[in-house]
This record gives sequence, C-alpha cells and structure tokens, in this order.
Amino acid sequence: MLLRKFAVVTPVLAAAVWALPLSSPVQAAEAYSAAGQVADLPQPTVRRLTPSQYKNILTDITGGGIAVEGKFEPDVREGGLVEVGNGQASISTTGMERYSAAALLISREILDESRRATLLPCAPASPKHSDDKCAREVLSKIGKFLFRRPLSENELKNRVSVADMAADKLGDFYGGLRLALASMLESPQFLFRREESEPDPNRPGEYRLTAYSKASRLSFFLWDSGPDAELLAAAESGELHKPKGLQNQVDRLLASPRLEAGIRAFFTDIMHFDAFEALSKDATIYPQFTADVVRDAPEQTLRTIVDHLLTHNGDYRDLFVTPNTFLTPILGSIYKVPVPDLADNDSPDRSWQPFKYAENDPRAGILSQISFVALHSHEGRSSPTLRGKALRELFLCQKVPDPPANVDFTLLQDTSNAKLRTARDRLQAHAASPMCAGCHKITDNIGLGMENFDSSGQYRTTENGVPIQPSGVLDGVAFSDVPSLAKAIRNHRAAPSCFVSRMHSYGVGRASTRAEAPFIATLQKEFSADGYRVADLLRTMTLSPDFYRVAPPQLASAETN
Amino acid sequence: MIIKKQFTRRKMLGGMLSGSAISVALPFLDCFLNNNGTALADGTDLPLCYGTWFFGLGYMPGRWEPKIVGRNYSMGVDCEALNPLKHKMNVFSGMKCFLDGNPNVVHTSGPQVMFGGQITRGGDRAPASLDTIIAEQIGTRTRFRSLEVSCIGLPMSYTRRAGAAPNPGEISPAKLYARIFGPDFVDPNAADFKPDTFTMVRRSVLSVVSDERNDFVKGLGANDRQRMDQYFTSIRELEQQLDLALQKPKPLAACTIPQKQEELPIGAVVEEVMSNHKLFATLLAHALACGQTQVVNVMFSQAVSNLRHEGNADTHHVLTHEEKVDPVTGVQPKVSWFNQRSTEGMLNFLTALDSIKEGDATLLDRCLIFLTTDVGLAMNHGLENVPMFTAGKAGGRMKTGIHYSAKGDPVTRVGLTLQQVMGAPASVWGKDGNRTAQTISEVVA
Amino acid sequence: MIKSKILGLAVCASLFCGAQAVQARETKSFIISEFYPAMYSEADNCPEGLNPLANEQFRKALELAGRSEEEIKLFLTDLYKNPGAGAATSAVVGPMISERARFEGKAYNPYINPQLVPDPGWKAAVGRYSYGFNLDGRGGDDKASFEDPESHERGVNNQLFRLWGCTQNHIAKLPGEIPNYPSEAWEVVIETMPVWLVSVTGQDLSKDGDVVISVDRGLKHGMRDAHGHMRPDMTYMIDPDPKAHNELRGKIVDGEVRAEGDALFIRGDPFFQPEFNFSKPKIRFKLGHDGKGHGLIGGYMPWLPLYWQHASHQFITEQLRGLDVVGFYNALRRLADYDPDPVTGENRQMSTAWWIEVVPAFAIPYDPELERKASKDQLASTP
Repeated sequence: MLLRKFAVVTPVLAAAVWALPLSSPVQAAEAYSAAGQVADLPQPTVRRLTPSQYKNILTDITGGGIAVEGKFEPDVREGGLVEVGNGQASISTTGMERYSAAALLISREILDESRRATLLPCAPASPKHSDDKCAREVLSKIGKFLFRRPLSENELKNRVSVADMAADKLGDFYGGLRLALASMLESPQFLFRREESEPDPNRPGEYRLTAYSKASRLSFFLWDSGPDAELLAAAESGELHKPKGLQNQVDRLLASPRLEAGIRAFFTDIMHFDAFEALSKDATIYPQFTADVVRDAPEQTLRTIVDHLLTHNGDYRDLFVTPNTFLTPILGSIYKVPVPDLADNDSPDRSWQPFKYAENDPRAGILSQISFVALHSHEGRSSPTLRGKALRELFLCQKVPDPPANVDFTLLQDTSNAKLRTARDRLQAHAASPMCAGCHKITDNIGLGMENFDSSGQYRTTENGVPIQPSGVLDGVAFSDVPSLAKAIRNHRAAPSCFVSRMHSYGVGRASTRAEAPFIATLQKEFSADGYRVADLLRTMTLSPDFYRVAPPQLASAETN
Repeated sequence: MIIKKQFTRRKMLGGMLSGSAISVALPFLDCFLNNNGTALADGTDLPLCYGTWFFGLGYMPGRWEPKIVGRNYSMGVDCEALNPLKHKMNVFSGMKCFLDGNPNVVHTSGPQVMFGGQITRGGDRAPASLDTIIAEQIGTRTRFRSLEVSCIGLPMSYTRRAGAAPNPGEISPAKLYARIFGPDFVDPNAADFKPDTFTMVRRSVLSVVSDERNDFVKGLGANDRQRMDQYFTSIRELEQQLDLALQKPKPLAACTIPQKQEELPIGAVVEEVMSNHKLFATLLAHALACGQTQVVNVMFSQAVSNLRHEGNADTHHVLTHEEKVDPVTGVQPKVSWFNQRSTEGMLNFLTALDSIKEGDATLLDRCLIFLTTDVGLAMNHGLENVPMFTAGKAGGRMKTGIHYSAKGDPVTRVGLTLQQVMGAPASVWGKDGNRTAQTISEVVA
Repeated sequence: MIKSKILGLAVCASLFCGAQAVQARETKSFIISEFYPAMYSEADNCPEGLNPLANEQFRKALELAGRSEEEIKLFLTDLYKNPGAGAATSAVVGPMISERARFEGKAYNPYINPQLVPDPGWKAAVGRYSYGFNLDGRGGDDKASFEDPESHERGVNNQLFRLWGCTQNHIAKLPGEIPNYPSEAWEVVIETMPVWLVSVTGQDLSKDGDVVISVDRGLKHGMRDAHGHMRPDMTYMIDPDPKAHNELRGKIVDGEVRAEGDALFIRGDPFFQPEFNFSKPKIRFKLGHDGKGHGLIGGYMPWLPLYWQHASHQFITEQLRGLDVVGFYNALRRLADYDPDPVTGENRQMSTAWWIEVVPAFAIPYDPELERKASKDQLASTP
C-alpha cells in the first residue's frame, strides 16, 4: 500500500525534498526510501556510548564523587543526530588510548579505600592475595551495570581469572580487581550498546528486542543512562515483555526526576549544542561574548525547555514563543536586561534566575536565544543563511543543500561595504547569481527575519546605520518581525511532525525506516491529539511494541572467526 | 589492519611474570623496527617527553606576540631571539585567567590557574599540576617520574600531585648532576632489562577484551562488523604499545653522559641565573636523551622575579612597578631588558634539547615543552593575555609554527590541549570560569 | 514571585524600560570602571628631575640613617639572597631599613614614626596644566593653581598631581597613558571590591537640564569583557547601608554631566585605600558614542589615609615599589592645602582630582526577598 502510494510522488520529492513547503518529514523520508533504498524492518543497532551516557553510567554505579569524563572521540552526526551518528561510529586508536587511560583512572577511583565499604559487596580474606569468591561477587555486581545485563559465565570466568592472576602477581587483591574492572571499561560490551533480538511470541514470524536490549533502549532514551537495578530486574523476570510490566517501568521512568537528563540529552543533540565546544566570536567586534556566555547560552535554552516541557507540561510548539526563560547576570548583559547576582561577592557569577519577557518583546522563544542566533552565525557577523538553514533543518526537518564549491563570498563577508550596508543588501547582491539564488531563497527569506540579532545574540535595530527590515514569508505565511516569525514556526505543520520523527530516530538510534512509517504517523496523530505534550509522546512511543520491533537476524555470515 | 591471534600471548606473558630480567625480545616485534633502527615502522617513535619552563613577570603586551595570527609569524620584539626556532614552536595569545570573584593574589593566582586549572582557596585541596597529570600517562616507567630545577637559588616549583605540597626544585646543577649521573645512573643501553610488572599484568589482562571478539561480533551485519573491526584494531594497537613497553627499549643512541659540573655561585643575579640555567638545560637534555625521566620542570625565574644586577636593589619585579613608562614607546626599557633575558633563557633551553640529534630528528621533536609565566601585564598584575608558548612536536602529535589567538578565553584551553596531545583522558579541564572543553584543535596533529 | 519582582525593579531602575515615562524622569546608571589620580604629565613638570628608584632610595635612606658604605653594600648584595624570606625578616638587612627611625638612641619603626627620620626630600611637580576643579573659589591668579587642559577652567586645585607628578610610577598623560602604580592597585582591587555606581536622574537625559547624581556602592564586584575591561550592562544591587549612598546636584551642560555637593563618601578596599572621604566634591563626565564616558571626581580629602595606603605595607612598599615612605610623608604634609588644624595650623586635607571612566550598568535596589527566595539551584553555577 504505502509503497505504491508514495512511488507516485517520488519523482517530485526526490528532486527537491526541501522545496516542498508542506511535506512532512516522514513523507519525505518514506518517499526517499521508496526511490530506491531498501527499507524493510530495521536491524538492531550497535551504538557507541555518548560522553554523557558514559559519565552517567559510572555516576550511577559510584553514586558520584569521582571524576569521570567520557568525551574521547569526536561526535559523528548523521541525519541531524549524534545519537544516530553513534550507530555508525567506531573507536580510533587515539580514542582507544584515552578510553583505556580513563579506564585505569576510574577503576582505581572506584576501588579506592574510601569507597570499598559502600560499593563492594565483600572484602577479600587477605588484601595481598587473590580471592576468587570475592572477585566474582564484585565483578558480577558492577559488571551487570556496565554491560547492562548479567555477565555470561564465560565473561565472568575470564575476568575473575585475570583478577586472580593479577592480584597474585602484584601482591594486591584490589590491584588485580582494578585491572579486571578496567578491562570491562575498555570492552565493547561496555563502550557499545549492542542491541539483540529474539522472536516475538506475540507476533509469530516477527522479531523484537530482547528484554535487556529493551531495558537499555528505554533507559538511554529516557534517562540518558543505563538501566537501574529495578529495570534490569524487570528484564530478567520477563515482566518487561508483558504490557503491564512495561507500563509500570515506563511510568516509573517518566515520573522520575532523571527524565530531565534524558530531555536535556535529546535537545542537546537536536539543537547541535556540541558545536558550542568550538564556538568563538571575534573579540574585537563582540567583546562581551566571553567564555562565560558560551558556557551559559546552551544552559539557558535547556533550562527553558525543561521548565516548559517537564515542569509545566507545556505544548511543544510554544517553545518557539514562550516569554519565560532563565538568565544569569552575564547573559543579562548580552540581552541588556537586569539580572541581579544573588551569589556572594566571592562566588563565580552565574546564578540562574527565572525571567519573563514583556508582551511583544522581540525576545521570546528559544530561537531568539543566544544558543540559536549566535551558534548559527559567523565569527564576526550574523548569517541569515546559516540561521535559515538551521531553522529549516533542525526544527522543520527540511534538507537544505550545501553550497556548491568555488562560490565567491567576498560580497557577503565585507560588512563595511559602503553600498551594501545590511545583510539583506549583501545577500541580494550575492544571490543574484542564478547558481546561488535557488537555495538562498529557501534559507535567507526566513534567516533575514532574525537579523535583529547580531552574531553575539545582542538585539539591534540597525546595521551600519540602516534600519533592519526583518519581514519575509515562511512557506506561505508572512511575518514582519521576530515574534511573528516565531509564531509562524510555531504554527508550521512540519514543526511537530519533525519533532516526533527526530525523537523516534533518537530513541532507536537510526533513521526511521519505511516499515515504521505507520507507527510514526500514529505517533504524530496522538501528539497532536494530546496537545503536543512531550511526556505523553514519550509514553505512547515507549509503550508501543513497534518501538522495539526489529528485523529477523541476518543470515549467518559465511565469514567465521 | 590484520587482527593477529593473541590468545597465546596472554599465557606466554603470564608465564613470564615470575621471571625478573628478560633480555630476549619477543620474536614478532622485530618487524616493527625500520631499517635504520631510528624509528618504528608504525610511526611509534622514541618515548614522548614533556616539560614546563616557567619565567616570571611575562612580557609587555604587544612586545611578545606575533602580529600575524596563524602560520608564517615572527615573534614580537622582546622575543625576536626565538625566531630561529619558531618553526618548532607555537605561540598562544589573548587568553586569560579567570578569578571568579576571588582576590587576585598577585603572582600566585596566575600560576594556580595555568598549572592547576583553578583558583585554589585556603582549605581547598590543591589540584594536580598539569605536568603530573601528563606524567601519569607518560612518565611512570622511568627512573625519575619528573625532575624539577630552579635557577634562582630558591627551591621552588609549581609541580605537585593532587593535595600534596609542591615538589622542591633542585637549585644546584652540581647536585643535579650527582643525582642523575652519579653512581645510581642506569645506562639505558646496558644489557640487563627488567620489564615492569604492572605493565606485564595489564597487558595480559587486556587480552581478555580481544579474546571476546568472536562472541561480540557474532551475528553482526557487514557494516557493524567493519566498525567493530576498527575498534578491535585499536585494541590491538593498544596491546602493541604495551608489548613495546615490555621489550628492552631500543638503544638510545643519543645518550651520552655530560661533563661533571663544579658548583658555581647560586643566586638571583642575572649572570648567576643565566649560567646555572644553561648547566641545568644541558643536564636535563641529557637526562631526557638517556631515558632517565620523561618529564622536566624548570623554574627560570620565580613569579615575583628577583633577577637583578649585582649590588642593585632594582630587581626585575621592582622595575615593573616603579619604572617610568616611556611616553613615546609605551615601554619600560629596563623591564624590557629583563624580559629579553627570559627569552634568552628559553632559547638556551630549547637549543639544548634541539642540539641532541636522534636520527633525522632531534630530542626537541619528541618533546612538548610548555613555556609560560604568571601575568599578562606585570605592571598591574593583569591576568589578561598571559604569554604562552609551546615547543616541540611531541613525536608528531603536535603541529608547530602556529600563532593561535583567542582573546578572553581561559588559558586552560592550552592546558587541556596539552593533556590530550600527551594522551591524558581529559575532555574538560579547570573549574568555574577557567573550566573548558575547547581543545585548540588547530595545533593538534 | 521572583520573576515579577525582578521585572518590577527593572522598570524603575533602567533606562531601557520606558514604562515609567508617565513620571517623566529617567535614570541612567554606570559603574566606575577606571579610577586613577588625574595625571596630566608634561615634559616640564620636574625641573629638578624625578624621584629616584628603589636602589637609590635605599642608598640614600641608609646614608641618612648613618650606615657606612660597607654596610650599604652588604645590604644591597644580601637584600634578595635569603632563600624563602624577604629582607624584612632577615636579621641582618631588615633592621637597616625597617628600624631606621631613632629616638633617644633607640631604633623605631620608620613607617609608624616617619617624623623621627630625617626627611630625604621629595620632588613635586610644577606646571601650568592639571586636570581638576577650582575648589577654593580663588581664580587663575592663585599661583598655586592649575588650568584644566580639557575644560580650561582656571584656578584648579590639585595638590595630588603635584605630589605624584615627579614619581616614576605615576607619571602619565591621561587619557592614553595610564599611571603605572595606581592602575596596578585598581586592576587588582576591582576583582573583588564591590562596584561604585553612579546614577544620573533627570527629566530628559538627552537634553541639557537639572540632574541628580547618586553615587552608591554595589554589593558585588564588576565583571570583565574579553578585552579585560569592565563589562557593560551588568546588573548590580545597591548596598542598602545609608552610608554607601550619596547625592550630588547639578546639570547637564552641552551633554556633560556636572554636579557638586558638600560631601562624598565612597568605601574602598584595604589593599587600595579603605575609604575616600571628599569635602566639597565635584564630578563631571561626558558620554561617548559607545555608551562609556570619562571625566573627573575631585574634592579635598584628608591626607593621612593617602599616607597609610602606602605606609601600611611598610618595608614592602619601599622594597617592591621604590617609594621612600618618609619622603612621601613629608611631602603630604607640605602639600596639604585645606582644613588647618586649629592648634597646629597644619592643613589636614589636600585638593585632589581623580580620573574616572564609566560604563553603563543596571543599578537596582537591594531586595532581601530575592536572596531569601533564591533556591539552591538558582545559586548553582552552570555545570
């Protein structure tokens, strides 16, 4: 059915997916697949842990207090998501060196004398010799959380035997244990989330994730960490495969304050906040855009999102127009609003305060925040093109092609051009070239609507003395300024459907496949019916068997090792 | 890369653990040595070395930084003497130390941030210094974990383990000579070799991971299998690194024992400092070339630099605060003279390393030396635009010949980058305003 | 709750909110981002030369204290040769300087008893120009007065400029050249010293007319921008201590704010100067296109705090800054020009002028409720 339906529209869409103003991303994805990709049921994924997941798992195990970092490899972004890119990423030699060095440091911290009493279930008969029984107890207890499942007898046996061997050679039980623990932190079972499948007894002939893989998918999705003891127990007992058992766990995970970590991780990913690590501005032009601003800007947006979506269970679409946010004194100096510092005089000045903009203030919604307007700008000038592109790609799931090679950008870069004093003038001159015109029409029209914000995120009404004209049209809807542009995005049909599709991809760690299209369509419908409440969307998604449905295992490879 | 079978290696190494001295190389390692024996075929070279070279009171803004950002720069006027080595150096300008509402404990706050990543307040546990974090990665198997010297007659250093007091700096070149090249000197090229037990055990334990490869990749599709092959290749290379560490090190051909030194006058008079520093530089270069240590820390002058002329109370530090600024040039001429002595010291130190030839390269090429100071503008104890330099390619891990400028960013960006280049598992470093996750990727090879 | 309160405050305190236009009074606030003695050094200020640097100071001080050439040589050689300890704690060289005062044959601390040490002399500046104000009301005929190079006001009283004009680490021609030692003290102290706020209130600040100037102390130190300058547009709560509040009255004339009053009290910092207590204060500043402004604060102030600013660090001042404290003491006494002591007739205050730069800020009243209600989370810094 589906195949036939979309095969008809394919030629149009394949030519210009992004140009169709009202195509939903799902339609686009399906059509794109139908155009020649094999898109059956999805295979289970093997995802590299993200830095925050790495860190969260170890924090869960130790209860915090140890220095853990997890970023040892550059992020890979695919289909707009690092979480999808991680399904394609491996670990390089340099990265492995760092993972390995971290494993040695962390395992030493975990087994530090001060933590043994609380973290370890037993003590050795002698601290100078191996103790088979105690090593086994420790490694199986901690290993279960590292591997997100009980260790196989073989895995456990191997590690106990090296722990024993090392303890005897080093004359130190904990030294031996440390090395065995480090080997777990270096192992693929820990560093990669490998999903496994099994036949689904409820749908004969079909496959689903195993209970442990299901538990991991749930907890990484909702908490950005590995499963806790209760979730692992539900997997072990088989409860997680029963609708009631699944519902209990989903409700528990959603009701937990740890959901905030999951929401933060998701928005950090879809909003490309990893790019803040490389963001800098020309200090001569923007002396106020300091390292403090870079640190606080994404946090402002994440606080706004968590407050709106979780604390107040708000409509997702209102994120684009909400006047409520949180500011630090430093951010206040960029936004030019008063934010007093309540911390003591000798403390770092970054106390957070709730802030509400007056009605009709141009600063409303997350797109007016530094985390968007400054991130999608050049070092020394704003960029209607980058902003327009980001707006379409991040929030409407519309693909904007990259510029062709060998384009002359001189006109655009010369902000001191006496004749072309605003970005609008410069872009018009630049895009007069037919080669550039097509794409710039897609991006600039809306990007120019945000020209009231300079590259550092400060509000302005003129550029080089000429008043800025922020009006334009977004896919047929006219806007005259930033608030009306924000409203047009809020009301854009693709905004919620894009969100659902991103969330699904994020949860499953890959692009959605054609076979999942009906599921996503259902999710979109329910999202709309529920008033665009994100907690409801998460619940609908994670309670559905479709979220865990996978392809049958591939034929055994002829290659055996 | 082909994944070799290594099940037997674990057993083999396990069996070897009871032995104390091994003088026979494991056979398969031979193929990693290239024809002339100067470097390893897979690019792994002689051991990495790290050094800190500290000088007090910085430079005057505009007189040290190159005008050009990026490549093809020339040093500022007070650093011109370094131009012959600039292709082996990097310059970092514009970065600052954040005080976050803490008082500027003059000449102290700067080094705290530079080497510890944070302002340390009374009662705080002092963080580990940059060089000890790096030594943890590279310096654990040498005779000396690190060597500290101080050229001004005061046993100071900025190197410390977390929570510990700073290591004292050796003030006498004669005593340093005795410590390194005295009766306890271990000739790196001597016949006997005792592999490190911890490394042996670690190597053995790590093979558990590679042994589980088959189980892990079972049932994976071609694409995922390829990704996992890359991962297991990385594991394999890690194992090879450990294997190498267990071998009798290849000969350090450049290792020679320097001339024994007579004690010279020790003090803060310029001539004394310059000559003692030169002796230290030679000794440390030879200690590195002879594999006695992989980490050295030099205090050329202290933060409140007391360098002065004989019988004259106008020290470098006094002059920064009292000397009249020339209204035409904006320069304190006498201060500039002392600043140029810091440059001369740097040149002497780096030349000592660079003059030791190791095949086609020099000792400096496998070093990463961090040269920095306590202030951006000594006159007013400013912590903006604090001068920072690096020298050496860290065995090919670091690009050189680059001037990188990041106005208003924390200086800890450099410290974070150095840790990463030297293999420390750091993705963020520092605290509060000085915390950063921004690597300076422009200088990472 | 907190939210609305902050907004409420913003409306009253900030120029950027026009909501209170009904009352037709607007306020612009600033912090003082630079504050130095208003130096305007010119080549002919010091016909007798400059005050010498530390090396010469020590030599002269020891000669005056009756030390032999040999002892002096020993002192200068050993001064920095005592590992781990400064000369001040060294039994040999410390007393030569730090106990050089003599009374009835006994040694005394010269910083506490500068009158017991022979005056080594002090070179003070002469010249036609100096920044400042005509404080005593006498005109340009007063030979002890200057002409302001910017306002061209005559009869300017600024003995502070005379005091420092021939001292090497103070010589500077503002703006452009910055006096060395005062900028050191200021740059260090602003990292922690709560800001000094200046607010201008008037009918329409874009036009000439009457204004009220408030000078207040904030509750927090200032923040810097990427260049290391004080960052504009930060928000500061005003110290509720009534002593921290001052009001001066004046006008905007040709875009320049000018005001005066009877007294002005600003709390400083012990490292720098604990307090600034002006009599007959005057202030003027003009805003530039970037929103920043520069100008002067002037007035008479007691000279003893000026002395202690340097003398309290005792030997360190002489060792590290090359200032002869005894000479400085005698110069202050000589140059004081206001407020004679009824008994001795000696002047107790000195005319001064201080160069200021101001940058825009939000000044809002202190609200204990905000602090009380702030959650722990709010006070936490960004992870």
